[in-house]
Amino acid sequence: MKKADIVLISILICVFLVFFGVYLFSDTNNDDILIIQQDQKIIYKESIYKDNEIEIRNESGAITNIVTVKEGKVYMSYADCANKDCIHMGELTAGSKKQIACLPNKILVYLVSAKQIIDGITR
Amino acid sequence: MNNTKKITICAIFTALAIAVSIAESFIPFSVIAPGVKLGIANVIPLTLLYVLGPVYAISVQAVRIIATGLLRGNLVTFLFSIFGGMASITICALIKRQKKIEFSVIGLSVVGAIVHNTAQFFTALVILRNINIFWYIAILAVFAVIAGILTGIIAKYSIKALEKYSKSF
Repeated sequence: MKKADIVLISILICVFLVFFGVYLFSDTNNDDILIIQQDQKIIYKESIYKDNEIEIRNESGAITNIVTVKEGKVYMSYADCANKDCIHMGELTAGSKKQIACLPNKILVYLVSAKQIIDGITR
Repeated sequence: MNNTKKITICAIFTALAIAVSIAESFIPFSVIAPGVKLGIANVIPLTLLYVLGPVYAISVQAVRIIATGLLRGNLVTFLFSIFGGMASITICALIKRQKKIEFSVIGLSVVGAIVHNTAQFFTALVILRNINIFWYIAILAVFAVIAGILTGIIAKYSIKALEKYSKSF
């Protein structure tokens, strides 16, 4: 390894630490509204506490994904893609900072707070 | 090395890269975090960048991505591979060309991994138009650096072996 390598890796570690700090202190405690976005459009917007099973269909009407909402937990229960990354992304609960994404089907599942909806931050 | 030998090496390496890409997709790296990959196929263009030069490295990368894209995956996953892969090898080639900052193979591999990751973030941003995905890509970037170091070490040894081989002609 050369000097430039060490400098590069050190800079990257610093950047990651800053990201981690911002991530850790971002306030998401009030996020309890579930948003499902497909192809840049919001197709579902409900409280996380309302049990439901949402079937997501593509243009030709075939089911590509199923999102299950149960007792305040949200997870991807079915996906037609090969790698099933979205299923492995686990559960979202109120205040979760993460999202569930299914990139092959252009689907994003995430949480917002009621205030964000009023403020119109959410698209 | 004459042109026939260069083209033969490229053909063998392209085939190897396609095989490695597909073989890697069977390893469940997603256990660590969904979306994580070692990207061991990137060793091949990186090796060619040192042994044969940028034109060969970039062409092999393009053929590898198009071929694996045709064999599996859909349009969206192909867009991710092509933008990530081409940005990565092109930036690596440009950085290797300039003489001000000199990286070793490992450093260049880390640059490649980060560029790959960043390009995929922008692709995801265009597809989903939602900035929330930034955090997920940031987590993946940490793994990208680790993967970059590992593939860099592998590339270092394959360059050494190939240079020894090419001298014997």
